[in-house]
Amino acid sequence: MTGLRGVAVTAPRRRDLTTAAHAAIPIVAAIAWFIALARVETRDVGDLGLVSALPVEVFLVLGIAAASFAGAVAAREPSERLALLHVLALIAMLYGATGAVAEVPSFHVTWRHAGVAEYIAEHGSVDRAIDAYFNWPGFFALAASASELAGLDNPVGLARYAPVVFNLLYLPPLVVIARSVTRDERAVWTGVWIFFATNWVGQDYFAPQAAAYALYLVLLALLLTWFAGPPRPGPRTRMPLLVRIARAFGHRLAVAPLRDAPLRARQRIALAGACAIVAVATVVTHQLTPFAMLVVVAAMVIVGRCSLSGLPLFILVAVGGWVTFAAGPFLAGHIEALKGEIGQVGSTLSASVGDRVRGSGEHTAVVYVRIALAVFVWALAIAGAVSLLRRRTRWPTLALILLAPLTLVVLQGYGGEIVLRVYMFALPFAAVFAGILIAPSQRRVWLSGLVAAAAATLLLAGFLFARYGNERINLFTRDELAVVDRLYGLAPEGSVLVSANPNVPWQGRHYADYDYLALSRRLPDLVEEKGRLDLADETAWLIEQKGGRGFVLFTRSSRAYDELLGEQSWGSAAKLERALAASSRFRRIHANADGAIYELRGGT
Amino acid sequence: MSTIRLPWPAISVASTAAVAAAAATGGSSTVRTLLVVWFLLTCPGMAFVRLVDLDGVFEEASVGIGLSLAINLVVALLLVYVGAWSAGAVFGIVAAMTLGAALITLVHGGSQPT
Repeated sequence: MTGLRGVAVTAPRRRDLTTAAHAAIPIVAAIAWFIALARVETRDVGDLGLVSALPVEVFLVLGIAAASFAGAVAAREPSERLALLHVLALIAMLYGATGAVAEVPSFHVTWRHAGVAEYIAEHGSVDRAIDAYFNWPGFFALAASASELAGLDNPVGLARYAPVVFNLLYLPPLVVIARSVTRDERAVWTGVWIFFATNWVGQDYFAPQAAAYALYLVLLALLLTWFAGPPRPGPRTRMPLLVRIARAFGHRLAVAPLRDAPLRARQRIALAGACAIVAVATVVTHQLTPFAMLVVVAAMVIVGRCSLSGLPLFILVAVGGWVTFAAGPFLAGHIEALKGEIGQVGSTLSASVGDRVRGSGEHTAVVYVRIALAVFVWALAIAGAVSLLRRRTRWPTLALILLAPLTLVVLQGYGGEIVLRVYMFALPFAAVFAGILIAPSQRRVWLSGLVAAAAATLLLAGFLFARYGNERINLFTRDELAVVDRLYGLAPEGSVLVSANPNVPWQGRHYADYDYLALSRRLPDLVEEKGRLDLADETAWLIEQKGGRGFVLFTRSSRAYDELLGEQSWGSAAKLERALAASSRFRRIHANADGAIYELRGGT
Repeated sequence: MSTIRLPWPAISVASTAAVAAAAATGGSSTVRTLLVVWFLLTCPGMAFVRLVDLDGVFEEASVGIGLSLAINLVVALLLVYVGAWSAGAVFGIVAAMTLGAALITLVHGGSQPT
């Protein structure tokens, strides 16, 4: 078996047998995990999320997996392959859970993304006037290609296990990033394991963010491994004063690049080209990730940890070019709203954190677990960085780079999600520093191994609540999908399709054939303007404003949405449904166990 | 530390052929979906990465995955914007790039699996 680097390895047969036996543990744990998940019913999932429906042995299996991993990295002669196997099993278990439980692909945005890809597959083009997705269509063009090549009816067929696939893509660059921070392979694998145990923000589903994040990690891995030295100044280069101060500061603090991999000219050019194409692919795929790349790479250049000093300018030009020529018309209509968010740190933090603490008692508890888990990971990361100081290792500038994504909070609220995204962009570094802190040491193996196992178990417990806390509304049933299919069968193209909130599995097809309306986005303004609303009359009025026939859809998960997250200022899906049922202006035209369709009478 | 270096040129050629055969056969299946996802996310980049001759499995995989994603995204998008998108065209271009890189690696002797 392969030994972890930096650890003396002898290879007696007994050690190989022990390692082989140890390797069976994560495999058996993963099998037991999926067998247990097969018994979970979507309807049993409550406000605590998936945890409320999990059989008890699932928790036992996770505990065993965590302890087994700690044992693997605490061993006197730890094996890289064994550590890798534990991480692979962890990815399959944690990120395959929803796919294993779900009757149909989960999360309403997944269906929207599938619909955009289906539009491209059907038309072979994009209509930039439809919405933002069509202005950054890289991921959707790829998804359309993959779906057609696989012979699928709809791109949503790619979505069920997308989180597993994306997290597998994240693994190699994460290992490389971790090795650029520390030579201690125990800390490397502990850091990688912590990343997957704490990446609860759920941005690895069938989405442009998931693909762009893989590119972000690859770019960081490339830079930290092969371009980690300070930029070479030209003979007449005179850097701005602030950059000179920052770089002098960086040089004082910096350790030498750990992965000082000398390159031949041909390799350097090829890898610099790879950085460029990765950056361009990110720009055409996602709105936010290029800015995260930009601030992190700029921070690396400023503190002297990136020799590709022109890369920030290259990314900036690529973003500017795309925004000007490809997404310009779309942005022109939204520029005021975007400008208005710059510098609004207070309202951004409020929307990203404070406003999320609402809903049922159990859901509020889930939100607090998320906050606590994020704070815990950052506390571990800071303590890990400080421990480097105590070990008389100079503070690595990577600790400063960890902070770079925080600047995004100043720029955008990103629909109330920016704090989650910042957490995600900083997580690779935070996880590695946390790994440095809690990785088993070579001296007190048993004690440090126990601490690592306890920390790993605690993180996993938090992950289950944080990651899968919204599954009551994220999971859909076959009956819900059936009622959506029926809606498409009943409503002529061009009709207005209405839902109380966005949490319905529609738009997976016919993305541009109907006028979709989520009342939760329109009624708050009306209730502010008019006070108390007659929900049936207001719904009819909103449909008539758009013209054509109108249909209102209710599903199990759209009803649960308001129960989980709390009633809104205008009411809830349940109140709206009662109002429509009692109104002479609407009639119910279809219903099954998990949904109902109402039609506005007299629509043309 | 011993390092396993997979024969990526051969794997890339075989995967390209398998995807082409599956597409020609028609129908849909989990195996075909997995094959397409595998091909798109690994093969183009891994075919090129051997030309750069890097050390380390994770280092190679990082560059290979990044290049694969980037190549596919850019090719698919370019075809959309020039009005020539079809899954067959995307596959044709990506497969040609993959086979070309694999061929160059094989002809130049590249780094062989050890």
